[in-house]
Amino acid sequence: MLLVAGLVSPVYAQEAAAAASTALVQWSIITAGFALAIAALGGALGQGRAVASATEAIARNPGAAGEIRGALILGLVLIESLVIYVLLISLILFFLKPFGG
Amino acid sequence: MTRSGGDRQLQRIERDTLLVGGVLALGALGLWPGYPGRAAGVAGGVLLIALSYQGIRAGVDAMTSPVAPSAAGNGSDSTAPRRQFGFVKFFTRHAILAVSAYVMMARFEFDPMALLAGVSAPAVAATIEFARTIRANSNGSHS
Repeated sequence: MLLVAGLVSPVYAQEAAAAASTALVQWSIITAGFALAIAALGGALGQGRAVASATEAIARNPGAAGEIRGALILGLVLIESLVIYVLLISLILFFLKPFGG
Repeated sequence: MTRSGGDRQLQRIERDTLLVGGVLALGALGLWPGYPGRAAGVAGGVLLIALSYQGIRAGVDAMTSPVAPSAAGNGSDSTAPRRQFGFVKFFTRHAILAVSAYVMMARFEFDPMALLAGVSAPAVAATIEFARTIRANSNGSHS
């Protein structure tokens, strides 16, 4: 009995390890999806606020439109770079699969 | 049309972004000569953020530029096609970015961490510009 149990237990251990790896891959893909959704939401809210404030400022002071436009573009690009970080990390999780799978 | 202070600042940040990206790519090539994918990844990251910048800039220009009446005098806007193309670039930039990043990462097998480093280039350039502004202000207040 002990001999049979000793022979069989590594097989069960391998199956458990494979199941854990599959679960990790599944969770990493789910996490990537949620991360991208949250990043898009946050980026959209931030960019929306920036554009709203800039258009209001240009309407109040059209003479400063050039300065406001430069600050707006810079702010939008910096917000966008954060979204691109998350996009790249999600693509790593989707296609390169660093956790196996 | 005269250039405003904001335009000059943006030009300096564009130039610094390219410089930072070039320095990072050369650094990656010097540190890991056997892995050209890392230097290419940095260049790819700078390309991604440049695509995003072009889209945003075209959209903001289309939103803020004044409407110019056509020479025919029929009340139509002569800059309408350019503005429409600007809006197209603005609203399709995420799709272009996603496809470009997928091609760089999955097809060309650029190093993903190098891509992230390349995307950071405008943040570094903005920090340099911020430090430059602070230094110019402090020099102006001392003199």
